[in-house]
Amino acid sequence: MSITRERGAALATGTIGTNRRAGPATVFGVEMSKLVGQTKVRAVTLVLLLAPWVFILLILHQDRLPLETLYGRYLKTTGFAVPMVVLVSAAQWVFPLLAAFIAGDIFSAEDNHGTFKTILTRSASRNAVFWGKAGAAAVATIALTLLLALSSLLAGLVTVGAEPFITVGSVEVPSMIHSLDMVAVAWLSVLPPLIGFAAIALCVSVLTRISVLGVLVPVVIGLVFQMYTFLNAWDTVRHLLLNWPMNAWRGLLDDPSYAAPFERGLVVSAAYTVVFLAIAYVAFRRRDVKEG
Amino acid sequence: MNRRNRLAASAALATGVALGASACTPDTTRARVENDVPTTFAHAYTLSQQLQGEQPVRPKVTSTECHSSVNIKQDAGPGSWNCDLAYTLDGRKKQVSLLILVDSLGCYQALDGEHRDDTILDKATGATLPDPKVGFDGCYDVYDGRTNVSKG
Repeated sequence: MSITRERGAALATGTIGTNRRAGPATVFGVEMSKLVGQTKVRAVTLVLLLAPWVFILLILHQDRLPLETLYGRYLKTTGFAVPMVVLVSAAQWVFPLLAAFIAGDIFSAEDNHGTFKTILTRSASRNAVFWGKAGAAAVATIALTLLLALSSLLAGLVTVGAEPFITVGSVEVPSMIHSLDMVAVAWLSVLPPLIGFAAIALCVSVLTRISVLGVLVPVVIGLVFQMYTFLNAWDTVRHLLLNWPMNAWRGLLDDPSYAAPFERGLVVSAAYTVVFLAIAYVAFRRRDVKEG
Repeated sequence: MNRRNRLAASAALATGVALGASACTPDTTRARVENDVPTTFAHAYTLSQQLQGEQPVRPKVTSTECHSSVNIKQDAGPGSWNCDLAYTLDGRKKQVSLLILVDSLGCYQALDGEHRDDTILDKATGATLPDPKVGFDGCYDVYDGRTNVSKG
């Protein structure tokens, strides 16, 4: 924590390393230190680490399996099913919340503390601050997601065992490496839409300058998307929602596999990310720093 | 209306028409369900034998006919479907009727109504499991252009 304060003070006075103004990499480092030092981030990290273990231990101590959830029927068959069930559940509610939690106040926190004026006028350019903060939000969100993946995988392998992975198309994958590869592919495929949600949160944080809205608005958007997904409404609209690509891994892990949902999901995720980042960037560049 | 507004209106109209036109093709079609269910059924049958430590034999599905129970007119869309499969196993002809519960993500849960509570003993873990061949999950590509359906 003291290191964070020292680095923050150094950033504020522009004395990190050289007498030149801090670049995006320096801002990124400071923001990462600040995130790691936050109690709320540490608490969420602990929850993400423990939740999969609690979940599978509860499942193993009951007779019934969550058959209505994809991979739920295999929870006692292979440990590789645990990260898949966690992924199915997290794609619905947890990922938008996680992205909003990290990115939703990364700009507005400076507004709340009144520190933007000092940073922007004395130590770092707007460009460096924007991209440093955006990079830190993205990396932290991805890191927490992969931590959940790793914790789920370990929980499954330790409590259930490393029996062969079963594809979405009900085919056993005999190789351990191939099994790990498939779990990794599934989790990595949700990162593009996750970044999209982080971009929305970041944009709201810049525009409103209110941390609560930065966290709440992306969660509400994710909720509305999810509600539309469950409606028997226009399928084309559903394909344009940011939660749709979070399910694209099902095609990659099917037998035979198909990549069209993932490829189209990449385009959708990229569109959301670019649009919301652009809006945030323009708004941040035009901001009157004298306001504080 | 100035030029910029006209352009914006044209773009909005074109987007609306494109959305409307593509919205006419549902994600869940009879062709996609009839293509995926027999393949996944055969896989699940083999998986059931593998989990029990038996020599796996893959059933050969000879015919599949699926219909929506919800949208009977269009025979499309999520909800409840019924599939009748005929297959051969070790030279013997068999049949199975499956209830297919399709969700809006292009995935489904298939259940053999007569044996839905059947269980197997997983030889590797010793756990008692729902038999995969009487209850399995599957997904299909909602972007493929497949249109062939059974004659039923």
